[in-house]
Parts: sequence; structure tokens; C-alpha cells
Amino acid sequence: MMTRYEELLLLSPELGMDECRDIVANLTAVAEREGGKVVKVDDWGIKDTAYPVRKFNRGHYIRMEMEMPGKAVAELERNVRITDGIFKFITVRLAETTEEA
Amino acid sequence: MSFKKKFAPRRKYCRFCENPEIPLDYKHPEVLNDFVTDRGKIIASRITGTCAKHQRAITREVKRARQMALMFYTATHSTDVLKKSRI
Repeated sequence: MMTRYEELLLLSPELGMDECRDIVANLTAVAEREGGKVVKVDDWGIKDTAYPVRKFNRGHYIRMEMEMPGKAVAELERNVRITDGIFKFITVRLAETTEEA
Repeated sequence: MSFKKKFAPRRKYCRFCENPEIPLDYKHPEVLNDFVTDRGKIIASRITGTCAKHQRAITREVKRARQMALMFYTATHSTDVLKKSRI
């Protein structure tokens, strides 16, 4: 059973393009290892945050949309937590009919 | 001839029921910002006229947006206050 999830990551604004790509590639690998796949990666770029996060007023937002079994979420979040440079994240289960942002 | 009756407030309606196209999710803080005060508090549906179903959704999405720093929890975050006192 595959469910659609969306993962919004808030990365440090100090990370370079390559590091961001590494993080996304790493999480994609995790999702695939758990039997899911990444449908879409949406890079919002560096945006101002509403309040300071770890003393930064900006952050790099990346949104990933993926299909994976529900059991994979815990493993994915574990990997997100141990990755350096990720300040905040949220995983949201998407309804089938959710529109693209 | 009472003065009270003269002013009829505009009928309130639920914006999201009226127009289902409006995206109601945490990724669109510009929509949610209409439903919080200047200080970041969620406004009661009694005031905004939102229906119960969509008010629950607003609450959920505002809280998600706050988590991801897309919206603020409070207008004066403690670090801001610290900075000001140092000057």
C-alpha cells in the first residue's frame, strides 16, 4: 500500500547547492530503499523565515513529494533528524486529490 | 426609531465554502494570514464567519505553518526582545 506524503525541509541558508543536492539525493535513496519513490522535488529557494531559526533569519526550503508505504515514514524521519544542516521538517500525508502548490 | 436597527452588518460567510479553489494549506501563509491577528493569534470563526469544518482546517494549517517558520507564533519573539535590550 502506497501513500502520498510530502516532506517540507528547512535547510541552513549556508549550505551550498551541492550539499542541498546531496541531502535530497540521500533522502531519495532512503525512500527508495524502503520501497517508495520520490515523485517530485520542489525547490523554493532561500526565503525569509517568520522568526529566527537557529539565529538565522533565512532558510532554504525544499519540498519533496513521495509515494511510499506508511512504515517508511519513521525511517525517513530518523534519517532527516540525523542529517546535518536540516533545521526543521514536517511530513504531511496528502489526500489523493491534493492540488500542486 | 431605535438607532440600533439602522446598521445592518454585512452577512458573514465562509470563504472556503464559497470558493473551493482557495488553497487552504500550510504552504500558503498569505491565505492564512487573513485569519490571524497582527500578533499571530488565530481569529475565532465567530468573528470571521468561517464554517466549523474549515475553521478546524485553518487551525491545523496555521499550526503547521508556524512549525515551519512560514508564520510567526508571536509578533515579539524572545530573541528579538533580547536584541533590542542590548542596543
